[in-house]
Amino acid sequence: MMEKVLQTFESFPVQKFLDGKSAWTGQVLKVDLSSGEMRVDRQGEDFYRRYLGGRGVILYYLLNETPPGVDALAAENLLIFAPGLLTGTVLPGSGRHAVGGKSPLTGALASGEAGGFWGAELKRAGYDAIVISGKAQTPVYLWIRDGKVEIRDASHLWGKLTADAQDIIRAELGDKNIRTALIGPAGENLVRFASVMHDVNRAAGRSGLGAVMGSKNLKAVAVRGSMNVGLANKEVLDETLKWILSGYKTMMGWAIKYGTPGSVRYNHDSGGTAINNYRDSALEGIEQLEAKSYFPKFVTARDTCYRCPVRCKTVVNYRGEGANIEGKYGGPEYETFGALGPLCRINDPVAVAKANELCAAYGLDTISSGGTVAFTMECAEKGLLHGFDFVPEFGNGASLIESITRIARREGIGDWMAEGSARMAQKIGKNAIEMLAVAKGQELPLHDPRMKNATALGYALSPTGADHMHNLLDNFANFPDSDVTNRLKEMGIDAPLPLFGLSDEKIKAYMYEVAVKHVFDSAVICQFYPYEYRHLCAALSAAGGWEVSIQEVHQIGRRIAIMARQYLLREGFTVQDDTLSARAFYRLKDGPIAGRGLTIQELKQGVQRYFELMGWDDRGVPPPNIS
Amino acid sequence: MKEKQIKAIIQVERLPGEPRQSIEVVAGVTILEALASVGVSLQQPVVALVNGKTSDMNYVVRPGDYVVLLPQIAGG
Repeated sequence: MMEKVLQTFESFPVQKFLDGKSAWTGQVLKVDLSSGEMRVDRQGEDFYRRYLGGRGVILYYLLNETPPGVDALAAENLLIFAPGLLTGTVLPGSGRHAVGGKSPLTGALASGEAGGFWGAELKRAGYDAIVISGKAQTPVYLWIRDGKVEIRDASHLWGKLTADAQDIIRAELGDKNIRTALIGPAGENLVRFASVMHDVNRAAGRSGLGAVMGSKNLKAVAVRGSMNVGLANKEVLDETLKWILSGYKTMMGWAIKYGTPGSVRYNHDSGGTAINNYRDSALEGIEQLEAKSYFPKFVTARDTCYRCPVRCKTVVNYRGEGANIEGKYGGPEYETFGALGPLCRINDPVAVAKANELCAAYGLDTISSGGTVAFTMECAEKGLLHGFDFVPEFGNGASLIESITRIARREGIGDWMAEGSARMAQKIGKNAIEMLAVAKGQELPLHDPRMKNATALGYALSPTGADHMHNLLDNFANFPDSDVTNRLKEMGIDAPLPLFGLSDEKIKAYMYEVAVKHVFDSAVICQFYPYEYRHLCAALSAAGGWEVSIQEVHQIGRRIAIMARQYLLREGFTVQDDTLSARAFYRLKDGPIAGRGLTIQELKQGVQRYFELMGWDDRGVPPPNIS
Repeated sequence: MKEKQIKAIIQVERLPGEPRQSIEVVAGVTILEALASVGVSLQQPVVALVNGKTSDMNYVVRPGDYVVLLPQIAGG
């Protein structure tokens, strides 16, 4: 086995960080894979106060260090791993980091967050972020240990499934506790919705960052750190820590019990999950995917993220007819259930769990995988695909599993699907375009825009294409005591808000919530904890050592929203792209959301009102020189 | 004038997978007011299905309505 070190680099020791009194080192590692050159960007307090980390830092480097209009799969694109100010601190829910770059799926921003341990480990190794440019001549991986960085040969890892590659890396570096960010065959084969997997089972899933990594010939980033991520002012966080530790069992009861799979049945029953590529209002046999029947047969253990007592993650081990499923790849979350289940009219939990395992092993985004397979199923159903030896069909679990493998390997129809549903539709023609459920070319998450109309607006406006995380889910703003409602009340919004429609108040609410979500995704913390402003302000103040007010939280969130908009415009998007594809406007005739949904006109008006509230012109262009 | 109070049924599932609790409430008030009137408070966000249709939490319950409250979870 080849274990070749190609380049080495060691950063300066950061005494303050070692003393455990700072949440940031000020060191952003820059790696040019074309030349092998490595160096450190030293950043100061102002940088972290302005951008926090995560999405803020990703946008900072994309705007400043990539040429406009660059091909997402070209060496000039950046792949950025960015924990945030709070990543790796004592705050539960801080085991997250962001990964970003230009998306090969959409041509827009790619910014995905992953849970687990990797982000905290990178900070413990002395780096606040890694900015990777260029393209290695042959496959390589990075090995980072307490400030020391090596570019190592990865020829022997190329083509391996994620878990196999991780096993080899840990064995050759002699440390089973190494944390890995890595791609599988899907990323190597430049599947436009390939994910970056972390410790094999946590994905920075959306928008094809795995393909960006593959385009750089980078198989993995392995990290190990032994430093402590401190806080500048621990006392400020005491009350928030007490609130979490004394209350999480009640506040997070849903997460402790079943995690997100607990919502599969309810979202289906309330019209929140799109079924049969948005054409049906119910899935026969949905009870087979319901948590209370699924858990006893499939879930053998629970898993968690760095310093989180909740343990919302599932571990699926299954030996049975039709499939064996390995626990090391975790288990499907709600979005995955929805995309690989109801959206494809599949009610077989074995097929859904196996397809999830394969997505983790090949490194594929489960939402875009399900969205693209469902779209392809409808194309096949309508006779729009010719000359293929295999096409998937609705309700057929085996054909879902076959599709996932073919996408990762780009075989047959899989080579078309690997381009994503929007590119496929362009190739097939008008009839196929009518079946699309995308925003800016990215497949919609499983929060049906016909039921959640603010979420629809958020899909249309998102700088990453459809996304449910930096968004407002109407159902949470409709409930009197949710974290969303409580935050909105503090912003002077008369919440709870009506469930349906796009009232002016709701568009304002969307604006405030998106700003907060940008802060969550920059800081980077888990959105499952029902943080209110006092908790967020306390956490940021404790970590940074400067006092952060609600106004400052919104100033930061707004700054990141503006940077994201500037990036979109710079990359050639216009107001015409701030919309949704046909299926978002398809009306169901029966079921819980019969006849519901925004019209195109209502959506356009919502987009214009948001621009107005942000102080942007009617093309969505922010005024110059905003800070 | 005193009329016999006309009622509706609300079924509450407090956490995913827990048995549903069936509550008889008086019509003419919102779902939340109806719950409050019988001393039920919810900690987890829910969505209301009224006679099979997804409805606002401020929906005013009508006589004979059948309301199911479904726990909601974000993200994933």
